[in-house]
Amino acid sequence: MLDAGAADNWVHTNGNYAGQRYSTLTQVNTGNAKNLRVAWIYALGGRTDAMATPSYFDGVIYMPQDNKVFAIDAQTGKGLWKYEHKLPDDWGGQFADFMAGKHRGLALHGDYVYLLSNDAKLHAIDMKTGKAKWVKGFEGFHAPRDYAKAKDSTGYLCTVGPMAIPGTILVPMNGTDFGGRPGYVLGVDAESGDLKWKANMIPGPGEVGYDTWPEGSQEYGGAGPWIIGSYDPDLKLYFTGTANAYEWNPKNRGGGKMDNLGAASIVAVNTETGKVAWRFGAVPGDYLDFDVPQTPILIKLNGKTVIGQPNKTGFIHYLDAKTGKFLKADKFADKVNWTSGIDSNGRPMNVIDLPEEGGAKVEVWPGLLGTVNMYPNAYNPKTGLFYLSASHYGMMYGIEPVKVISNVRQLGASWDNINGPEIDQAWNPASGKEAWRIKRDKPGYAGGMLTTAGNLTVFTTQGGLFQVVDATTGKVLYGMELGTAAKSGPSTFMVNGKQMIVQAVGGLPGFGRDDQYPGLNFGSMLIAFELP
Amino acid sequence: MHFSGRALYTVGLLLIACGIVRADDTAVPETNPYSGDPKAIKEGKDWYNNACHLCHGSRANGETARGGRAADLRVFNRGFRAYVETVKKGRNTTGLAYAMPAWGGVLDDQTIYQIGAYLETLAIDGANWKEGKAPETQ
Repeated sequence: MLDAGAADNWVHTNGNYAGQRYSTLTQVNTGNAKNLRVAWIYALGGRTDAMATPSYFDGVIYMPQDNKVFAIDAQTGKGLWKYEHKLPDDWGGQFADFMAGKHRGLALHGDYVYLLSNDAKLHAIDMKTGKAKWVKGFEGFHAPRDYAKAKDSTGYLCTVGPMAIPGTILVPMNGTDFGGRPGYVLGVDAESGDLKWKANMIPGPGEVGYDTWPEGSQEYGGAGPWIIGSYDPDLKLYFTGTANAYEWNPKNRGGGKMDNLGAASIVAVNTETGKVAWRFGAVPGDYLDFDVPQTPILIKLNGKTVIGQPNKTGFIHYLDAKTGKFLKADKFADKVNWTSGIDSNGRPMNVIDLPEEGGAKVEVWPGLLGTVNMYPNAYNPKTGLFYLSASHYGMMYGIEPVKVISNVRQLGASWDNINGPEIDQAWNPASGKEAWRIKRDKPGYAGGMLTTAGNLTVFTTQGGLFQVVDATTGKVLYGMELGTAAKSGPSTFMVNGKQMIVQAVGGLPGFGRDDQYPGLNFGSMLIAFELP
Repeated sequence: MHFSGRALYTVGLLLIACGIVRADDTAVPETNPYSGDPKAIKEGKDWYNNACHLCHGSRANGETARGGRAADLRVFNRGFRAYVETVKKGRNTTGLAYAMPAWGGVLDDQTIYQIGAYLETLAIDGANWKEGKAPETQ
């Protein structure tokens, strides 16, 4: 079930191992998409953004929200069971409320669905009964509310999700923006929940790149893998992007002069051994919050298996999947001033100067929200195009003195967004050129992209407009106002012979300012579409 | 004899330091003893940009990448005492997970006052940092 790709079922959050969010289904296509209708709506009752893409297997949809898992009959939209995990009273630190309740997906493996709760525990839940077989915490991945216990960090507040490969659940440990605990990917035995291995995103002693950090700075260096990655079953490699280094003010980690490899990087982990096969630093010594956590998408380019990773920086990086060798970078953002370009080794050239600590802010394009952010992108092997949840943001960015609140070192940076429009964008990696775009009149990002062999690309805008478009041309084939913003990508699958598309909605409309979207309200629902 | 708010505050801190009164017993002054103090404003700005701006934005207008529905502090109009109480106790947003955390016991009074002094410099029409009598609009 795991290597089948997205067709009758949608097992992986990103659709398939390759992270493409591509379905081979064709029943709904460019000829009939205009006839789509709502089949049912299911209320999740969430208190925060619905960031997960619904998973589906054998008639049942599985959806995480607010440390719960909902099982829903895909035919009727009726709830079958609900699993609920209560966060410990002593969990979380000062910023826990911002993170709590968010999940980017589930893993399905055998008879179990796996939830990574915000307190860094993995739950193996029986698909039929909704009862937990086991709940595992892992040594060293705590997140106490009491700062005195937190030592120098608020700990791990996991908003990402797990991914299943045969026999192993891959568990990203993130939440590293609030104290900078270093990022890891865990390999956990799918049956027993025992830890098989722990892969460090930041190089350890003896690894390439260890000396790109001042001694001791690695311990609170960030580099959390906060998006579900991709997997090559032939290479046995798991690929993930990582967050920027901590603190954002770089004075404790080389002042921007040291590369801090492993942070703002793309990392390949051997899933047999847990050893890191390679790390590619996309933004060496980053001080602009240009983390590159987006899912590295595996594609075929000129006959080779290549990672294409659109990221915050305004570039798509292309790497040889086996070696991590840099191949090229496409600039897909309209405006980039943080660098004059990427050289032949993949290093940014003429990077904008580090702002003076406590001094005036400088104008940077893109902004730290990025040209793409956490909202998932897609790739369609038939059209050969990426579909990007993009936006044209800039920022005024400043470096601040690092204050210590209780025991926790803060970011040491501040910024103002320069809002720009949402751009739903198709990009051709072969030509390095844009294929089409739909430019909206308000800021934000589409919730995430889905693309299918029916030559469709499906998404919901930040303004709550569900869109089905021709994947080749971008022509809108179907639209429906949902009345609330989406923060996740849709999935598609077959239910009793009919193709269904399900979009999770729920989140704050706009990105920071409600008044950009006065007609929208907070929602928390799954909405299912099908043909008559 | 005239005592400035700043002097009374200093006396209060001394009483706390000597263990004569507990911090909880110290009345919050009606106005900010650090208002207009350049050094305190600079320190308050640094603290604000570390502790507050993630949700309220670096211009304190509530426009931010992370906070979603944080208040526009430029038009805070409930007076200094209400400001201090809100910072210490936190604030809920009905129904949603986004809540202002309670900073009491995390930031000390002096820091909270310094942040307030900085915010006063960002105030626009409609703001009130003097008395806690205006209707709640935040």
